[in-house]
Amino acid sequence: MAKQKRDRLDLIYDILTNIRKSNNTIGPTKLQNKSNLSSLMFKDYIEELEQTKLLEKIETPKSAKYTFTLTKKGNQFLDKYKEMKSFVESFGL
Amino acid sequence: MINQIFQKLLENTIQNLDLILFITILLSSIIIYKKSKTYYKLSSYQGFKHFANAFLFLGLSAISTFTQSTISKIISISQLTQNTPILQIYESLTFVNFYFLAMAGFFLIYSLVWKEIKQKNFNILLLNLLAISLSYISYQKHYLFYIVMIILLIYGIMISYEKYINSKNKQSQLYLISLILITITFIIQLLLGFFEIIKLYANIITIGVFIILLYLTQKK
Repeated sequence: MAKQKRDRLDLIYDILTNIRKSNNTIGPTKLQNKSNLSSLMFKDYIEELEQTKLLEKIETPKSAKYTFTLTKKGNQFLDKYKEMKSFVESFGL
Repeated sequence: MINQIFQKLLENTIQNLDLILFITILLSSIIIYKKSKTYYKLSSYQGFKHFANAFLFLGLSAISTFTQSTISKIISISQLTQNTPILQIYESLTFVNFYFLAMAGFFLIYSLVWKEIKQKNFNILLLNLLAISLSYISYQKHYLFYIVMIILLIYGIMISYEKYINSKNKQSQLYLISLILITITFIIQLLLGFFEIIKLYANIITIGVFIILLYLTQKK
C-alpha cells in the first residue's frame, strides 16, 4: 500500500522526533537522512524551524561542524502534536 | 387569553434562550480561539490562524448581536420613537453584526481552502473590503446577506464533505454535520423570516452546533 504523503505538520514532527530520539543532539547529515527529505526541502525546513525557535543550531567551537538540539518550544510541539493533528483533521484545516 | 399566555411564554423562552445562546457562542468562541492561537504559535501552521480568526469574529458578532438585542429591549420599554442616539446605535449595530459575521464566514471557508490557494500572501485588506461591501449592500436588504452566507456555507459543506470522504474521520463527520445545521438555520431564517417560533428553533440548533464544535476542540 502506498504511504500517505506527509504534510507540513508531519514533516516538522519527523524532524523534531529524530532530534529527540538522538538524545537531543544530532548532526545535519544524519538528521536529513533520518527525516527522509531532499537537501533543498531539508534546508528550507531547518531554516524555518530555527526562525520559529523549535530547534537550535549548536556550533562546535573552532570547527565548521554543528548539531541541532530541541528548544523548549520544540519539546512542547512534540507533546502537543497528536492534539494538533486531531484538530487539523477534525476541522479540515 | 390562551393566545396571550402562549405569546408571553414564548417571549420569555426566547429572551432566556437569547442569553444562553450569547453565553454559549461567546464562551465557545473564546475557548476555540485560544486553543487555535496556541497551536498556531507552536507550529506556525496557517490553518490554525485562519480558524482562530473565524472564531474571533464569531465571538465579536455574538457581543454585537447581544448588545443590539439589549438595546432593542431598552427601546421597546422606553418607547423611543424619535431619532435619538440609542436608535442610531441600534441601527448601526446591524451593519457591525453583518461585518463580523461575514468576516467569520470568510475566515472559516479560508481555513478549509488555504492549502489549495496558490497565493502566498493572504490579502486581509481585500477580505475586509468584501465584508464591508456585503454589509453595506445588505444593510437595507437583509436577505442578500443570508443568500451570500448560505452560498458560502454550501461551498464549505462541499469541501468538508470531500475531506470527510478522503479521511473517513469521525470528528470531521461531526464538523460536516455542524456546517449543515448552521446552513439550515440560515435557510430557515431566510425563507420563513424572523417569526418568533422559528427564531427559537434556529437558536436551539445554533446552541447545539457550538456545543459540538466545543466538544471537537476538547477531544484529544
